[in-house]
Amino acid sequence: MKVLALLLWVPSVAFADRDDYETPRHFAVELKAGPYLPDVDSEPGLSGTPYRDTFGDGSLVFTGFTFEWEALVTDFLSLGVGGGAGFFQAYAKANFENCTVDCQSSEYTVLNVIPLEAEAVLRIDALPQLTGVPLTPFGRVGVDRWMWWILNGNGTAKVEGQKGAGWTWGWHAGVGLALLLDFFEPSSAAKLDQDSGINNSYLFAELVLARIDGFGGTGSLVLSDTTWDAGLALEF
Amino acid sequence: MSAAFAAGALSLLGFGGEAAAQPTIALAQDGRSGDRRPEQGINLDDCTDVETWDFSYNCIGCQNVAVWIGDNCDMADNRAGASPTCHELVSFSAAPSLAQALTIKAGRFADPFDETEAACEPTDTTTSVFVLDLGDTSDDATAFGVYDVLVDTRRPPAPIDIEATAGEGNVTVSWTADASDVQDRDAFQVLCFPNPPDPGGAGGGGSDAGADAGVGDCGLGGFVEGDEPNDEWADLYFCGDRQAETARSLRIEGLSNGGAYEFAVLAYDDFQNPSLVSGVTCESPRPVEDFYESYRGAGGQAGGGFCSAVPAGGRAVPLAPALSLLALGLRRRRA
Repeated sequence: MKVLALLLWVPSVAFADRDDYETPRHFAVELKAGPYLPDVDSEPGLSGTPYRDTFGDGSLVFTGFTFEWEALVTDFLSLGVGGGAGFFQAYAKANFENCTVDCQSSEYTVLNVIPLEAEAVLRIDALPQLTGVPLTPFGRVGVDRWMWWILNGNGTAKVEGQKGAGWTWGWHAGVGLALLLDFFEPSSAAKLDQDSGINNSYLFAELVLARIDGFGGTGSLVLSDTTWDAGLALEF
Repeated sequence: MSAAFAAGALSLLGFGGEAAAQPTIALAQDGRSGDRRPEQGINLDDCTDVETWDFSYNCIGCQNVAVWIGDNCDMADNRAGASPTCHELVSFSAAPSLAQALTIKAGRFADPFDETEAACEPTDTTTSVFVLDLGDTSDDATAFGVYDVLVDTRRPPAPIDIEATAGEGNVTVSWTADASDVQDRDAFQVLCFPNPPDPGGAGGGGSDAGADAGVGDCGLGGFVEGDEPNDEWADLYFCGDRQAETARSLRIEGLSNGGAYEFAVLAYDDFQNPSLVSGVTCESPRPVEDFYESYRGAGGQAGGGFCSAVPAGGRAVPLAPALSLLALGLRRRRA
């Protein structure tokens, strides 16, 4: 009987130890999506509203991902630096020139945008640690360089020999709240950590202020917006 | 003559006593005058072009040989009953001693009773050539050889809902396939009038001039709804390549902005029979304003390409050479 008790006790102690153990945390990735409406028509010196006239004023979907190195990790916060990329596309049937009635042509005109960004992210982990509430506030700020190009029925659009493609510098900031999913299935989360090294998983939502306007200069396609996004984050 | 006697179907009926007395019939198709699709049979073009099919046959041990065309001609009722389905082509009072040659016009396969052999009535059937040994009676054949020929001289229904939407130097033609020919649909062909020199050419795009380039007005086209296409149309009106059965639109390029063009679509079935001309629609390509043109027209200055930096003045400066010069300068300072 004593032998049986010993056999049962030893694995349970070992499992308890494995539950408490957390693999080292170095990186984080995020997958996110949200509505986006670039403020192209706000460019200084622009007359009229070419973006709205072409693509309308409804928000479209932006998708993106980030990868960061958590340079500083304590029991109560983490500070990461990294970068990310995404994609956004607006498309519509182009209108005929100088047309007033039945103006829609068969040709599409497309604005493609690939945002590239470098950023720092601060996560406040204290709330789950101290109170057990599975919420992690976070904030981010970064520098952006967004790649954009415009297509028509024949390829990249051109006007007077100048291609409709380029880059726009800018910056972004965001604040949000992440829901720590480990809280709901702690044993599964522990197993995931032990099996794959994923320490924490989150669902998050954030408010984003993107000022992609060439830092206020002229000659840049303004792609700014104030919007929100949501997604999944993993720390590992 | 090919040595393809073995290709003919051979069937023996009856038990005429000793094995040595049983007739043996061989029938083979040796060739056809046209080089047309489909290989397996006769379509409307084969029929109207009076294509001929060559056969050879031989009958050993036969008494009363006849060649019939139709359906189930070995049955006496189908040869001489109230509603015969077969027509006699050749008969011999005695069995020929040598192999015989026979030429049949395609129209006979479309209608075995058509003496003109060129009526080419719409049909979708299988017509057979029978070499019969009728023995000493006119009853059911005691032995026969048969060769089946598929015939489809029926046009598929024309596509419907033909629409044309203009672009800059191009028009996109779209259509709907008639739902009744789902099982017998092979391809579509767009017709244009006037026919542009390079309808499938990439780029093109026409010009922004908007000037009429000498094309005709709508209503003056070379085809109208319900026309029967002919071989000359391939050069006159066919726009772009033949489209797959799943295609429902085609962008026609190389058109002149401001010119009027007429468009229609033909359907083709599995036997490459064309439909009659669909409804005809008319459209004129016009200059289109894409987003970049709209943006630049409103005073926007951005652009120039990924390898260029665009200063406030809007003049494009290639970025790569500038960076190369900068790197060269730094290396020299270090040295």
